[in-house]
Amino acid sequence: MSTRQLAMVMDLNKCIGCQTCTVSCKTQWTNRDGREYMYWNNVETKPGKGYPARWEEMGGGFDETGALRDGEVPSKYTDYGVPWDYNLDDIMRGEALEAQQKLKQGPNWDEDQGAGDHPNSYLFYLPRICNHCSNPGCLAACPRGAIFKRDQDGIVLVDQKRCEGLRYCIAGCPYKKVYFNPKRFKSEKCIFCFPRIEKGLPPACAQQCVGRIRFVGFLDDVDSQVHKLVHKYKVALPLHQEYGTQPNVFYVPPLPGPPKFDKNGKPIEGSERIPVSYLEELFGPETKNALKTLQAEMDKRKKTGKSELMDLLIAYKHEEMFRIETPRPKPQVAHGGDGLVQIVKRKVPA
Amino acid sequence: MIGAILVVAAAVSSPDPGVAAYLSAEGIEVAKVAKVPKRADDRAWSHAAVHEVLAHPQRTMRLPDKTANAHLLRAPTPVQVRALHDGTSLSVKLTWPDDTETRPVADAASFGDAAAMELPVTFGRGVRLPYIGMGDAGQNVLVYLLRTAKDGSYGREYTGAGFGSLTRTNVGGFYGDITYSPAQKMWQAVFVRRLTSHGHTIARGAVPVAFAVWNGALHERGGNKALTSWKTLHLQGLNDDAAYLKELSFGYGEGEYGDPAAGKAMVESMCIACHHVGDKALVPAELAPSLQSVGGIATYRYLYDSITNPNQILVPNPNKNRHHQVGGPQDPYGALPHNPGFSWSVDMGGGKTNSKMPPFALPKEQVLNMVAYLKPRPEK
Repeated sequence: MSTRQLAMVMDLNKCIGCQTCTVSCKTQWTNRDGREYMYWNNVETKPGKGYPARWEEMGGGFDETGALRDGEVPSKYTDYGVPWDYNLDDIMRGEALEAQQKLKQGPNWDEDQGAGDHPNSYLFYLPRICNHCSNPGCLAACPRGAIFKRDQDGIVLVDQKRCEGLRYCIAGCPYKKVYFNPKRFKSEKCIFCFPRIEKGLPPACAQQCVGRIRFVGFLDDVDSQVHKLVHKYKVALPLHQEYGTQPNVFYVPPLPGPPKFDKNGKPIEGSERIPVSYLEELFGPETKNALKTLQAEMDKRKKTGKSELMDLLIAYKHEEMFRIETPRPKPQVAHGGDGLVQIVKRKVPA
Repeated sequence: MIGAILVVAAAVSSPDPGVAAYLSAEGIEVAKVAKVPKRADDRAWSHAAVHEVLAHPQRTMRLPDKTANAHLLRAPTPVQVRALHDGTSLSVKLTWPDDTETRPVADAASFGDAAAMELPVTFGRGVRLPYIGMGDAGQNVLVYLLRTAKDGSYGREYTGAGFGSLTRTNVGGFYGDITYSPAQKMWQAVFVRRLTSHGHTIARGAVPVAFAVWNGALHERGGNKALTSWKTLHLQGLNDDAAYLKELSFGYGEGEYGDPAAGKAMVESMCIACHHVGDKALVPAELAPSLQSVGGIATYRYLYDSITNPNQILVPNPNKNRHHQVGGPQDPYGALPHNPGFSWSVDMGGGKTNSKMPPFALPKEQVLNMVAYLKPRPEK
C-alpha cells in the first residue's frame, strides 16, 4: 500500500517499564485539547488486561477470510479511565493523599501484577504505539475514506478534514490505538511523530527511551537495524499477527527468564518462568525460533566475544538505533480505497 | 384525523388512480399556511396532515461496530411526518419514539440521537431519483443533519454522491432543531428550508424526500441508522407536474404491482446467488448489497430498474479495504490486495463502470412479481 515502510522494533528484554516514552509522547502530543485521557504510547504489564482494559477482546482486524471483523469502541468510564487529580493542596495541611474521585480504571491499572504464584510469578512490560499496519483495520473501517497511509513511509494518518468523528476506525483497529477527541469531535492517533521524521529525527518515544529498547528505520533498507532484526535474524515479531493487519511495530520477545523454584525453593532446571506458550499467544508461532536465535547468539558471544545481533541489541550508541533518511514530504490526500472518496462539488440546477 | 381528511381530499382531486394511491401511501401533503412554524410545539402544526413512515435499520452495507450491529434486526421505527409551507419556506416536523434521550458526553463510546432529511439536488420529470443511501455519482443529494449536543442541538448540511462521500456544504437557508419530550418519550425534529436557496429550488408541487433517525443508545451513527425510502412532499398550491407524479408513483398504477407470492420463488432462487435476502444467506455478507431490508428503503422504480438495467443506478461500493484477498499477491510489507469478489461494480475502462449484476431480461410480469415480493404492501 505504501512505497516504503518505516518500522519500529522494541526489545522487551530491555524494557524496565519506566514510562519515559509515555510521558515524552504525552507532553509532545496529548496533554491538551481533549486528548488528556489518551495515551498514543502506553506501557502495559503482561500478562494483564492492558490499556484500554481488555483491548485484546474487543474485536476489529480481519478474519481468516480477509473480511473486516466487527469491533467495540472502548469507553473512558470502563476501559480507558477518567483522568484524575489528587488533593495536593490538602496534604500540605496534613491531610492524607486522596484521589479527587472514586477510581475505577486507568492506564496501567494492573501494573506489575502479572501472573503466576509466588515464588514463580512473572511479568514483563509491553510498550504499545500505533502499529502503522500494512493492512490497517482503521483504514478499512472508515466509511469516509478519511484514513490513509503515507506513500513515502507508510505512516497511517487520519485526514482531519474528512473525519466526522464516527469512530468506526476505533472499532476496526484490533489494537485500540485510535482515540476519539470529544472536544474536536475527531478521531486521532499516534502519528509516528511524522514532523520529527521529516527532519530526520526518531519519534519522541524512541528518542527518550532510557532503556534503549527502540530501533527505528525503513524495512527495505538492508543496513537498517529494523531490517536486520526483523528479516535477517528474525528475532523481532509482530504483536498478534493473527489480527491480520500486518503490524510494522515488532517486538524482540522476552527470554523465558530464570528457572522456576520447586516446593523446596530449589531451581527447576530447564523450566520456563514466562511460559513460551503465552509468548506465542502474543508473538505467534515464530516465537520459539526467535528465542532460540537469541539464546544461541548470547552463547556465541560468551564463547567467541562476537555477535552482530548482540551488538545490535546492546545498542552501544543511542543514535545508532535510528536510520531515518529524511524523506521528501509529498502533499497527499486521503485515498482509503479505489474511487471511494469523491469530493463532491456543489451541484445545483441552473 | 385532519391528516386523513387531507389525504383523501388530495386523492379525490387527482385524476390518476395510481397517483392517488401513491400519494395516499407515500405522499406527504404539505398545506400552505401564512408562516411556517420553526418550533416543534407551534400551534400551526395542527394544520398539517400526519403521515407515518417507517425507518428501517440500514443493512445494505455493513459497518464494523459490534454494539450497533447487535440491533440490526430490530423493528423499523415509525416516524410521523408533518410538513407545511408558506410560499417562501418549507417546514418539516418528524416525531418518533425513543425510550432514551441520548445526548453525547465527552466519551468515545457516547453517541447522540440525531435525525436527517435528504433531498435530491436535481429532480423533476425524466430525472431518476438518486440512490437512497447518500446518492450516487450520477445523482447527488443534499442532506440536512440535526445532531443532539450536550445542550441543545446543531445542524449540518452536506452533499453526497454515494456511501462515504458526504461533504459539508452551505446551500444555506436552513434552520433546524431537535427536542425531546420525556413525557411522551418522543423526539421531535423540525427542518426549515427556504424553498429556493443559492439557486437550489424545491418550490415545486412534488419534491422527493427521505428521512433517517439515529438512536445513540444503540451506538448508532453514520451508516448505522434507520432510514426511509424516497417519499414525496406534495406542496399545496404549487405546480405538481402530473407527468412527474406519474413517474414517482410507479408501482401503484394499473398493472404495476405484481404478485408477491409468485415473486418469492424467483427471488429466492436467483437473487440469493449473490445477495442476502430476508433471513436467507448462501454467500458471504456483502458480496453484493444486502436485500434484507431493501423493500423498506427502495422505491418500486428502483427495484424494477435494478433488475432489468442494473447499470442505471450503481450502488456505490463501500470501502473496499474491508475485504482482503487472502493468499493474494502481497507488497513487500505484507499488504494484501482488495478481494475483487466484494467489488459491486467493474471498471470497463474509458471512465465507464458497470454493475457486476447482469441485466435480467425477464418478462415484465415476472419482474413485477419479484419487486412485489421485495417490497410488499402494506410496508412492514
